[in-house]
Amino acid sequence: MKDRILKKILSVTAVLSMTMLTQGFSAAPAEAQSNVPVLNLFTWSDYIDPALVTKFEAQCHCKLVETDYDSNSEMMAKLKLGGTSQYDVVVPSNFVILEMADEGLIQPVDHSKLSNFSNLIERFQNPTYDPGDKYSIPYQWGTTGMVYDPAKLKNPPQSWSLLFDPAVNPNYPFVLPKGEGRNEISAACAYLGYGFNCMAQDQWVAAAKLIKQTRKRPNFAGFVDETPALSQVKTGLLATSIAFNGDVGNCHADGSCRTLQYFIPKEGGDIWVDTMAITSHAKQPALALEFINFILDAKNGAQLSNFNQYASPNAAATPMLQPVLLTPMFSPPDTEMSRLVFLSPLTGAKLKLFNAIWTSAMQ
Amino acid sequence: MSPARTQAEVEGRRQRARLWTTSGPGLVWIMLFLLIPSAGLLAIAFFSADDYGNPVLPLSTQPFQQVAGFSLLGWDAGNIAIFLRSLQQAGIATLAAIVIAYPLVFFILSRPPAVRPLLLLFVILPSWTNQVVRTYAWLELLGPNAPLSWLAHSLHLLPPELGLAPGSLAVTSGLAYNYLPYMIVPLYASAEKLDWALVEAGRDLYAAGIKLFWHTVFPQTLPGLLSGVIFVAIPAFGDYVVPALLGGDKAMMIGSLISAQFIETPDWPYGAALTLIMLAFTGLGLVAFRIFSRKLGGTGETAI
Repeated sequence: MKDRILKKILSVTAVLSMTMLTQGFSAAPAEAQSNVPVLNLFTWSDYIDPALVTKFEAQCHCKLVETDYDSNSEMMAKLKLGGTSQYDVVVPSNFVILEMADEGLIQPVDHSKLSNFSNLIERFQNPTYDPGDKYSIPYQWGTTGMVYDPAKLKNPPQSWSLLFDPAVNPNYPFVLPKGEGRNEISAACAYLGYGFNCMAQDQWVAAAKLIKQTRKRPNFAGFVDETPALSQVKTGLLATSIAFNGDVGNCHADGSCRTLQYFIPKEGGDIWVDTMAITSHAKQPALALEFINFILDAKNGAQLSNFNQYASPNAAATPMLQPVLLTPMFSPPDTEMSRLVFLSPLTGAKLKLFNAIWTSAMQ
Repeated sequence: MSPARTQAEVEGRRQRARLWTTSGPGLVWIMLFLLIPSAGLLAIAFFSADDYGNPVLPLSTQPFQQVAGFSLLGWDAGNIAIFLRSLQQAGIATLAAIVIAYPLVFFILSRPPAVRPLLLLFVILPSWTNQVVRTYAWLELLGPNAPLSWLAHSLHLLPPELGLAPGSLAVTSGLAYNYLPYMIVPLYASAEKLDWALVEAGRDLYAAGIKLFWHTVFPQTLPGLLSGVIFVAIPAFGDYVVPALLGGDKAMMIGSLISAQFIETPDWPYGAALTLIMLAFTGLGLVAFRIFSRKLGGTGETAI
């Protein structure tokens, strides 16, 4: 966790100093040392099995250079500063794909080069966040819900009220993620009865107002992103927070958080997909497609999920997944699935309005 | 060479040449890597923002209206609160640094001359470590499972479920701790040159305690103190790491507000305008301090 926040702060500093320094020139990308072509992959920290990288390098006779980020906004900021030609493949979350396409950061994917596309679970072949998977190919998916420490909070309602109702948690410290604000505003909307995927201005404003009130509660411990917040719940600094299913499943598996409980609130929650997309000025578009098709392979897809401990969008990979990935934590049953929604993409003026509202909630 | 040229003119020219060769590289460095990029960033403050926060033409005063608190949602006092909070945190942290620095400086001066550089080194040494790492150490010290929080619990200053961090007291402590060396070093430089005869004279005139300090020690250490105030207050005002870690950003400060405009909720012109306003206030603060120190009869010996 320390590592993650440290990295985040260092990368924020890096982005800021880049904005100061690179008005005209951008950092040099990793170039081919010899005649071996280089594929530059820009992805989340610890999100690909190093063994898969080696395997891909052997198959493509190329070199794969991996660079990491910790948030969608950080990734997009770097793409805008010259990253669209520096990296070939990026791994954005579902709700920023159309925004990135609209801004010219990514290009459409040539499906004719993806022989393994039909391996995908049907739900992921034509998702609402990117119809027809025009710009993005699913990589891993999961849910966003709540985690709590049952030693402190006894039998809380399976509801967003655990965050927003002072009567449910009057004393114990909790946090909200900082991020781009989509999960936070959506959770507040769900609690207020507007549904998780709220899109109307007055609903957002009401949600922002609720967050502003929540911030004033004495046991509100600040804005901390999901993954570091879970570490703080584990160490006892916090009693509850928004969390990703994979993170909780992971610490259940390694024994570092056996007692912590995870649930998807009854008012609804987020099903998210991290996807592979090709940057608009990629130097190796053909290699990028080869990489995407490589990940879509059943065996490779299973190896990826078994390493990451997230659910696979790859139907053909399912028989090779570790049994734990088929438990309700990772593969929610239909009753829970019905409560989960993809966050709608936000573009243009609507995104600007959302950002203004989220900024006002944080101030 | 004109025969009319006097010895003094030649000498003057030589001095100018020497000045340029010694300070020239530094000036070029500052121009290339500080002034030009900063000017580039600040120029963005006068552009409009497109829907994705990128600077576009036409030129606009919109970013400055946003700084003043106007947004798509109307006017909001949020920015003013952030600004005042940053000023307040920086002010309290600076005061705390002064209160800690004075006794410490005179303690070091009271040791044998051979030991003093070593003690001074101990003061400076921690600042060679990354600020994020040191701030994390404070998060451990002030967390709910640490003795300081237990003390606060038993004194009923804090509910038993909570820790001292994150919170505004933690931010103040973190800022004072982080910038304390920058107060101690200039103050030490002043105090080292202290004319103790004046203190003795004060004693002979039956002054003691605070009165003695105020009339003999304080005026003599004022140049160092003023440099220290500037070195502490300015970076504390714009600090980003301490409010994020020790405050959890639950009470936003100006550094976090600026960084959000470049990362989480991109709006570059607004971020640039905020930066410009922050720099302007820093500049005004410097000018005010200079005037203030002259008025107080300072010798202009402050480090800036």
